[in-house]
Amino acid sequence: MLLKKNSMLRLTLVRLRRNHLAMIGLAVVLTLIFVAVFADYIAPFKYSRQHLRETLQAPNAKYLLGTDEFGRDVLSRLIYGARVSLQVGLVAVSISLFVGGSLGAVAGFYGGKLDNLIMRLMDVQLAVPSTLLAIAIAAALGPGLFNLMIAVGISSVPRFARLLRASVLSVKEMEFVEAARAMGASDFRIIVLHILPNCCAPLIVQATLSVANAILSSASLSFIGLGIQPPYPEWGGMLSSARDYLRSSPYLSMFPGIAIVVTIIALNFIGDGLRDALDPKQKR
Amino acid sequence: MLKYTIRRLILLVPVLAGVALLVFTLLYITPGDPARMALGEDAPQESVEQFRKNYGLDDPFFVQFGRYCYKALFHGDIGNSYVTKSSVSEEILTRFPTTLKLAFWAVVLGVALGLPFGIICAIRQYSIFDSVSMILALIGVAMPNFWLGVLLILLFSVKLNWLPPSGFTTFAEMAMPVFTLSGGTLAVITRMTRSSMLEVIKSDYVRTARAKGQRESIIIWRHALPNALIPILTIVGMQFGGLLSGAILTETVFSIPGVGRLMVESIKMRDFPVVQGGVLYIALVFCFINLVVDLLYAGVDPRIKAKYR
Repeated sequence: MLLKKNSMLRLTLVRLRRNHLAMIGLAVVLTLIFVAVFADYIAPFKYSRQHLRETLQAPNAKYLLGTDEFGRDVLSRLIYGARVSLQVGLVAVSISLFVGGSLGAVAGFYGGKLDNLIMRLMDVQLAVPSTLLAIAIAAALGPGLFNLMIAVGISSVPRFARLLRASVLSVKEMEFVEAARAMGASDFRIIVLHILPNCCAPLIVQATLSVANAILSSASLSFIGLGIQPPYPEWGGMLSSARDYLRSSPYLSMFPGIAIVVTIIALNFIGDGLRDALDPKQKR
Repeated sequence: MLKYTIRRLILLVPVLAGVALLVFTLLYITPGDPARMALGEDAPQESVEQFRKNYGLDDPFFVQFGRYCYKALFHGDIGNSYVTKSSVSEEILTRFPTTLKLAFWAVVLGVALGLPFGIICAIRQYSIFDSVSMILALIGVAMPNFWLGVLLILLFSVKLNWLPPSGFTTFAEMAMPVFTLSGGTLAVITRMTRSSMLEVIKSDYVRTARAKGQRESIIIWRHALPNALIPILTIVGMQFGGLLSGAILTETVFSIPGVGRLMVESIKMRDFPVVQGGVLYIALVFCFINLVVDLLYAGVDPRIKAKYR
């Protein structure tokens, strides 16, 4: 048996499974991941394939969700777009988790001047609204997938730094940390092996919700032309170019938006479910 | 209270300096030679060198940053646009009132609707009104505001032909942008008010008030709401930052001549001083709004006020 009978993980999973909304969210996200990974096999056409005789077709049997101004299949572009959105979401959050987490852990663990310096820097960053900061960074770096990830990732670093600092502060005074120190463990070992596993719960919740935020930010950035460059599809970018055909082809403005909203709601469901499941105060 | 205000104002200085450093650094690392960008692609090499010398573009980073701060503080000068050659501050300040007006009405709408909705949801928990509002709030939080704007245009301008799809002067023109921008905020405020009220309604002193036979309306308005307001106030303050950046997208959708649209157009033309100038101004406003919110706390919550006596 992999899981101990009453381990925290098992309890959490049991509670999570009872949460219907979280399960729906999980199903949606797993489907999206599947679609994104196997986009090459699932999508009816290649995302860049132009059917120039069949531009701006309303949804029909051949093109289930219609075609855009270059005669590209909207469904295929949505499927490839899922790849971009999930990639940006995951990588961006990994960046903020790693950078923000390290800064927060160091600040909380060592305290003193270092803590003060790091947290004041975070205050400065928090003084700029995060979407705005992402826009500023993306504008400086220039468009592109990788730059988009960095811009969105860096913009939510302070959130993770603050969160981890707070958890580390409460955990580091515990006796098992003292025990580890008494046995001569290095600071790095204490932080990574002893303290971090005890700070996981809030981090997991925050990370899930942040993926949703990152996808929303990247859609916004693409919408104003700071995201991925055409012809590669991004949901926000698709909405942006659809605006020119609002009168003739309103469906172009519908599907990418629905994709975004469904993804965000699903991720929020999972995040909220995890928060409830990981909360020890909740009834079992 | 005065001491607290002064202390908070002093604490603002390093934060603003940090924001200036951040914005300046982003401008500094932007690829491309600013002298070339300002003079144009086919300017002769000598005039580019002359320009670099005049504006001190070959000086070390911190010397340049010092000059940037000095000019910004004493002359309000944060550089010139590459495209129109006019002062960035001027370009932004002429458009700022529009953006502030948009954000202000969005906050007002969010609070004016979100607060009563949240309170009704909390009083009638699990009612149909509650469920429907919560589902709408769920969608509202997940909805990118630019898409909400596009949908509104589709419905009210393209299909029904009731409202104009662009502009921002008359009431009819303002209706859609303001609602678009406030959509997410409205959802967040409704949810926050509901959960905050639910928590307070369950507390002991509310039960005491009920036990002594106090009227329900007085319990809600006099006893519960003031205590529930504190977390709501935090959210409203935080939302304002999101609204100012959301305004960038809303202005793009509705072609409103505000700072956001200026920034988006500048992004397209690679006019970076204007973009970063916009970031600087919005961050400044955001800092002051946060300050005001923190001071309001003290007004709403006597416990905080007592600390700074």
